[in-house]
Amino acid sequence: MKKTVLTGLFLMSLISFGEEIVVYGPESMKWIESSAGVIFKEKTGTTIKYVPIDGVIPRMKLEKKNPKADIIVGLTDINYLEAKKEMLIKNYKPTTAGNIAKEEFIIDKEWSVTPIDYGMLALNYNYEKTGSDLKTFEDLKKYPKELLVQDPRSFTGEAFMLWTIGVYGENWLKFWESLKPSILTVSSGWSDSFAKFSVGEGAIMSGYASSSIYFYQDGNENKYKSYIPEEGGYVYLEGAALVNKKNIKKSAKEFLNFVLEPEFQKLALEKNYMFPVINYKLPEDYKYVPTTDKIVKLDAEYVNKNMENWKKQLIEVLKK
Amino acid sequence: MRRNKTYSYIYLILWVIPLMFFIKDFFHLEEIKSLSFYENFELFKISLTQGGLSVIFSTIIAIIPAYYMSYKKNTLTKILEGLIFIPFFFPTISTVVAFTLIFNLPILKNFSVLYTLKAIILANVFYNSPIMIKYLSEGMRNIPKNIVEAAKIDGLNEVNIFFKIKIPLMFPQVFRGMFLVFIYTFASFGIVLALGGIRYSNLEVEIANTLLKDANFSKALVLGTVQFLFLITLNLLGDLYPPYEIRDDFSERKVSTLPTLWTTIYLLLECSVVLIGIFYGFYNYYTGSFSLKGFYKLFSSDLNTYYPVLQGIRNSLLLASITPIFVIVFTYLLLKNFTKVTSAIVFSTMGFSSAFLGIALIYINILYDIKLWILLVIGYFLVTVPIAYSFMYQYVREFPRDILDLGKLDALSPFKTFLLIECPILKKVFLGTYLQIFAIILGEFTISYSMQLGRDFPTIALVNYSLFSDKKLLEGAALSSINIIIVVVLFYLSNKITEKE
Repeated sequence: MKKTVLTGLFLMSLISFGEEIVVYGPESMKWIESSAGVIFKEKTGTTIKYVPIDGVIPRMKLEKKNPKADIIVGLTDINYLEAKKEMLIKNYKPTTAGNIAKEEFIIDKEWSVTPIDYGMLALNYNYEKTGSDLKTFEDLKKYPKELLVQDPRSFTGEAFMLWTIGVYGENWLKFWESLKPSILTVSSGWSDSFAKFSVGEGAIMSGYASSSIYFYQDGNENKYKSYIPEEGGYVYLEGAALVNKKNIKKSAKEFLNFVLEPEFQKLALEKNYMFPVINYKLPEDYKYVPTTDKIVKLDAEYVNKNMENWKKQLIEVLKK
Repeated sequence: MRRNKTYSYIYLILWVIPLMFFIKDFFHLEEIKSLSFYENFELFKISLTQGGLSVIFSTIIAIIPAYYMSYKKNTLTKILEGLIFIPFFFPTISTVVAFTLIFNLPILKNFSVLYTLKAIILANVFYNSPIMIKYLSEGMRNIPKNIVEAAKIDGLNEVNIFFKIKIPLMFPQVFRGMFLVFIYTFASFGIVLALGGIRYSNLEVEIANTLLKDANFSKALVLGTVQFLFLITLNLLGDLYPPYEIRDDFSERKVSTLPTLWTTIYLLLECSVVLIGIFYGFYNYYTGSFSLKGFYKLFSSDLNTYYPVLQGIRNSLLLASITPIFVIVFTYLLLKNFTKVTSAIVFSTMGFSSAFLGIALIYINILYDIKLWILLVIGYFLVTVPIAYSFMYQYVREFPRDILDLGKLDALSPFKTFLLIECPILKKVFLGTYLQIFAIILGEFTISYSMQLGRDFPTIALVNYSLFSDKKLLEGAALSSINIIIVVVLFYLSNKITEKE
């Protein structure tokens, strides 16, 4: 009798509280729990617990023996290869994969990662301080001690480094050496740089093109601007993946299906200031985001092979 | 009395266990072989430079206030004594915020101090010069007058007396102060991370980056070992210079205007950093006026949905209330069972990387699902035992033997001796230590930061860091103010309680 009651209570608790999935990702995507989580719960009864992690791949390596997360978000079209090689993620093709607008948004043909959104890197600047518009990478050198860049071991720092490699090829380190007098400091990550930039510590920072939407919404579009240098732009894709663990929850797969639905994509637009990977009408304020047709591209395999060495070389230059 | 080495070894084992699991699974010899000696030597050099320069400047800055303090007893010296709360209790985040504001003042901005070695050294000197004042003034006070008089009779002039008599007598005491300052600045984390940037990353910052961003656990282990071995060697060197046990009565002397002026200016500068930290919470950065907006926002449910301020305060208070109990009981047992190895073991752990400890603890959580708060209590316990040990050493070790012997005559058990004799006399010392450990835990940042507990078990320091990172300046400054006020009050109370002992 006791057993029956306990089993009943256990089943009831499952019905009334549903399942929970743990999602690991960057600090900037906390909205996945607070906003997307509400819709996901209504749809599936599953609660999302979002845990912000600084360096999601290192953390997954640490948890390899006993992974606590079900999903990781914020993998890019570059670093997913490391997660795949280390067998930290598992292939899954979402049932909603057909919603993806362009073939080029598919990060991995084996579906180890599902694309969430994409964006462009840019240089954000304080027009009141620079006094003129910036157009090229070389323009950065005109402003001593005004540029905020990020540690190449952080997401934006890594992407900015790849951008310069794409633009300058073999001479990329020379460019960085000549850029050094303009650098005010190398921050630990984008949030840190943005905080410094916002309080006026530096006039220019490496960041995102879509930050212009934020500047516009804050009524600061005349003060803060973004530009993509004439040398070419850099596009990156962000994705989500199933964590490779013994018991993969059904709702974890449902989450990946959900990622490609219009409701989630809308939130990625509004909260992440990124572009959707499905056909979705962009809001009016997206017209403030600078774009370019000249995009620099790097082969993911080639990048993955050299990444560690490149980071090492750049850190060496930045530390000199 | 029979001494038991077990407690010293328990402390050592408690340190080793979390590290053991981590090392077993992540240490790979082949990864070590590929490490660049030059690159790591450079890191060591940076740490050494920052530690060395901080010691030198902290000592230079401290000489005159220490001189003033050893020959005067007035309100100024009372406040000077109180400054010792800065190196031990003033939260790193608050220091970083205060210095960022100071270096961004229009008058200083042109000097480009922020993100340079100067910024790190200035913050380190602010943080650590009170330690040098304490040790230097104790050293100066304890020079017996009769020895100086004898030297004078032997015909030595003032200069010779200073170099041949005073300095050698002061050296052991001053060395201890220098050692402490060196440890704190050699392994400094928050200040280097926020005020220095990548160019000035020291070993401790690199260990955290290697663990959190590169996942090169073997490299982090090598760096941690280098740091640990270097500091333990330095600590053992300190034992070559035991302090003199001679104490002289305090005698007031006339101090000229210049040292008084220097001491006053020094005091004003130190206090202004603390006050900036407090008042910044009441200042609206955007409107440039006095405001309580930051405090209102801080406790609003809207903000708490995204930034668990209340939860952070609750968790930090919980940890800060529980941990000191274990720390005090254990430290008491350590001191009662003091052997030759005790001090060596306790102080050697001060050189161990807190970032590494944090990662090792979170790895235990990953493997065995041990509650995070339990692991945090263990982490804070391990890092605060040396501090409690320093506070309680004199009182427990020098407890009047004749009183204890009376207990023995009455055939009291050790527990009853503690309960009926030691505890009533030492209760204020225990309470003072409790409050001081409480304050340290409230401001602790490195362990919880490297464990990445922002979502699962946020603490005040983590939420504060998150607020500043997301440029919630009003709320961040308000939380920082609250933290400083709590710490100052706790320190004041603890001082009031222990000053009569």
